[in-house]
Amino acid sequence: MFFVEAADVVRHFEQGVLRLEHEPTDRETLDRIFRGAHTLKGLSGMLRYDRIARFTHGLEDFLTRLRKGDLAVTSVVTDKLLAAADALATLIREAGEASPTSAVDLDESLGMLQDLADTRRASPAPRASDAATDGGTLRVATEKVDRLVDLGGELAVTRMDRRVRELQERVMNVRVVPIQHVFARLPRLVRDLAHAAGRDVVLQTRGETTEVDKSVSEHIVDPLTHLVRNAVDHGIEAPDERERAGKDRVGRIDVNAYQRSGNIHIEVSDDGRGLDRDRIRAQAVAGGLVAATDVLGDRELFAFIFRPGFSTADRVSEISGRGVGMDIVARNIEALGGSIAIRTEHGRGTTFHLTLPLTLVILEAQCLRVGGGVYIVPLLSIVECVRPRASDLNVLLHDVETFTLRREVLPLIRLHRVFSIEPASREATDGLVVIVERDGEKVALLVDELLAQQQVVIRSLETNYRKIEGLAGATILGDGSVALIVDVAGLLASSRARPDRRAMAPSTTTGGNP
Amino acid sequence: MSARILIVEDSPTMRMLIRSALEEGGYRVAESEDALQALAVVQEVAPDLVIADVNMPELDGITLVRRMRKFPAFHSVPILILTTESSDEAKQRGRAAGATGWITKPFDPAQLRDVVGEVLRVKAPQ
Repeated sequence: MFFVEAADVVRHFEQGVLRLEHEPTDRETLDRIFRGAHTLKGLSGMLRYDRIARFTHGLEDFLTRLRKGDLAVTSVVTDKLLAAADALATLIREAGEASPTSAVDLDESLGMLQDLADTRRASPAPRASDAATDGGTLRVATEKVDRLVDLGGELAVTRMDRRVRELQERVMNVRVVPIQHVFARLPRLVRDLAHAAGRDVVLQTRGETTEVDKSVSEHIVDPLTHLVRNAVDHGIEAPDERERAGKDRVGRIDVNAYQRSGNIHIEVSDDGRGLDRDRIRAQAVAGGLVAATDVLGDRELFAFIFRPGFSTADRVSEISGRGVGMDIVARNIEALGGSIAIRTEHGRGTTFHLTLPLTLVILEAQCLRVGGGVYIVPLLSIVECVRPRASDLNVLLHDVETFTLRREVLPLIRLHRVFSIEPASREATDGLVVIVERDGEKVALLVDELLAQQQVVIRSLETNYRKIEGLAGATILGDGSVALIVDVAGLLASSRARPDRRAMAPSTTTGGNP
Repeated sequence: MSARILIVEDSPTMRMLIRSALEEGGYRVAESEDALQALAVVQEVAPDLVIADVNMPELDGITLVRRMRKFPAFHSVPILILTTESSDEAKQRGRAAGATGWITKPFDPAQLRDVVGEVLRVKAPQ
C-alpha cells in the first residue's frame, strides 16, 4: 500500500513541479507539492524508511522556504525539484527492494537543496566506511569487489575447476546492475533538451532490465547521454519542419538495450532528418580530410563525425554542435572495448548502435605466439585463421602488404614489426594469418603460431605504464606468465590512416609503417 | 458500546495505519479523506472523537477544527491533531482553533490508543 501511494505522490510531485515551471507563482501547486513531500515524510517515518524520511524532511524544509517566499521559483529551483523527485523515486524503489546499496547520495542530494536555499550546509553524516550493514544486506566498496573479481578471475584462469568457475561467476554477478540505472536519467534529459531546443520529443526506453557490469554501466552514461543529446538537437527537426515533411510534429527517440551473443547492445534511434551525407562530405572536404574527387562509402563517410572538431551543425547551439562530443563518444566506446555503428536514412532518422562487452574485466582470449612472446587477441574479434600461401600475399606501393582472403584484399600487419621483436621466421608463409574484424573492417595479422584459447583478466597497462601503440593491456596467464593484449581497434585505425590516403590527405599520415 | 472515531487524513496508507491502531483498541472507525468530506459527513457519523491531519488538500486540519467548533453539536467533541508538524507556532494555532490535543507523527500505535483512551475518559463524565 505504501509503495503504491508513494509512487503516486512522487508522480504528482513531478507533475506539480512541471506545472510550477510554467506558473512559478501558482500557490496551489506549490502547496500540493509540499503536501506530497509532507505525506511521504510522515509515512516513511511511521514505516521506518529512514532514508526516505531524512530526504523528505530536507525537501520539506526547502519547500517551506519556497512557500514563505524566501526563495523564488526559478528554473534552477524546478530543476533541483525534479532531481529531488528522481532521488525520491529511487529511494522508494530501493526501500521496496530492500536494496543493499543506494544510487542516491543523501548528503549530496540534500546538500544540493540546502546550497540552493543558501542556508548553512549541514555537516555530512558519517559515511559508510567500508561496509555498513543494512537489513541483512551489505554495502561493500566497489574496489573490494573488484579485488575479488580479479582473484576469482585469476583462479579461474589458472585452475579450470568447475567450482572455481562457479565462484568466479558468482563474484562477477555481484557487480552486475540493470541498465535501468543508466536509462533512468534519460526522460528528464530529453525533456530538458527538447525544451531548450524547441522540439517536441517523446522518449521510449526498452530493455531496462538488461544487466551490465557496473564498470560498463558507469562508463556508458556519458556516451549515451551525448547520443541522446545529439538526437534531440540534430536528429529531430523542429515541429513545423516535421509537419512540412509530412511527419508527426512530435519526434520520437527510442533507446533500446539487449544482450546478444555475449555482448550488450544499445541502440539510440530517432525519427528525425537522418545524417546528411552531402554536408558531412562537404565538411570533410573543407577540412582537408578527403579530396573532392574521392569516392567514399557510408562507413568511411560517417566515421568523420567521430573525429575531434568535426561538426556540421548550422549554428552553434547551447547544447551541442560545437564539434566536441561525438569524438568523445567514439573514444569512450572504444575504451570500453566496444564499437559503434550508424544506420541512417535521409528524412527518416538515424540509429546509433553500440556494441559493448558484458564486462570489462574478463576477456575470452585467443593466445598467439609472436617471436618469444605471447600475445592475446579478443576471441570475439577473430574471424578466422589461415596459413597464407605465397599467392595470397602482395606488396603494394609504400611497402604496404596485403593478404587476399577469398578475393577480398586486406591490409596485412606483421605483429612482430608493430612490437619490434624478432619473429620465428621472416617468411610469411611459415606463419599464420589471423583475420580480425571490428566495426565491419577487417585486417590480417601475421603471427608465428596459435596457442590456446582462455579467459583472461584484463589489466590496464596505462595505470602502470604509458600507453603503448598497438597494445590494449596485459594479463597474467594460467602458468603465471604475462601476456600482452593486442589493441585490434588501434591497429585497424593506424592501417586505415595509412597509405591509400596519403596522396590526398597529407595531414593524416599517422601510424607506424609496417 | 465502543466509542466511534472519525479519522480525517488524506494519505490512504496513513489512514490504514491509524485505523488498525484504533481497531486494535476496540474502537469503531470512520474515515474521511479530506476536511471538506469530513464536514459533510460529521453530523451523520456523530463521532465521539475526531483525529485529523493538518496538511491536506482543499482545507487544512486546523481550519477543519475551527469550522467544526461552529457546530453546536461539536463544541465539546474532542478533536486530536495527528501530524508531522511539530512547531510550537502550529500547535499554538491548533489550540487557538479549538483542538483538544496534538500528537506528532510518527506515532506509536499503543501511545495513540493511550491518548485516545485518556481523552475519551476525561470527556465521558460530561
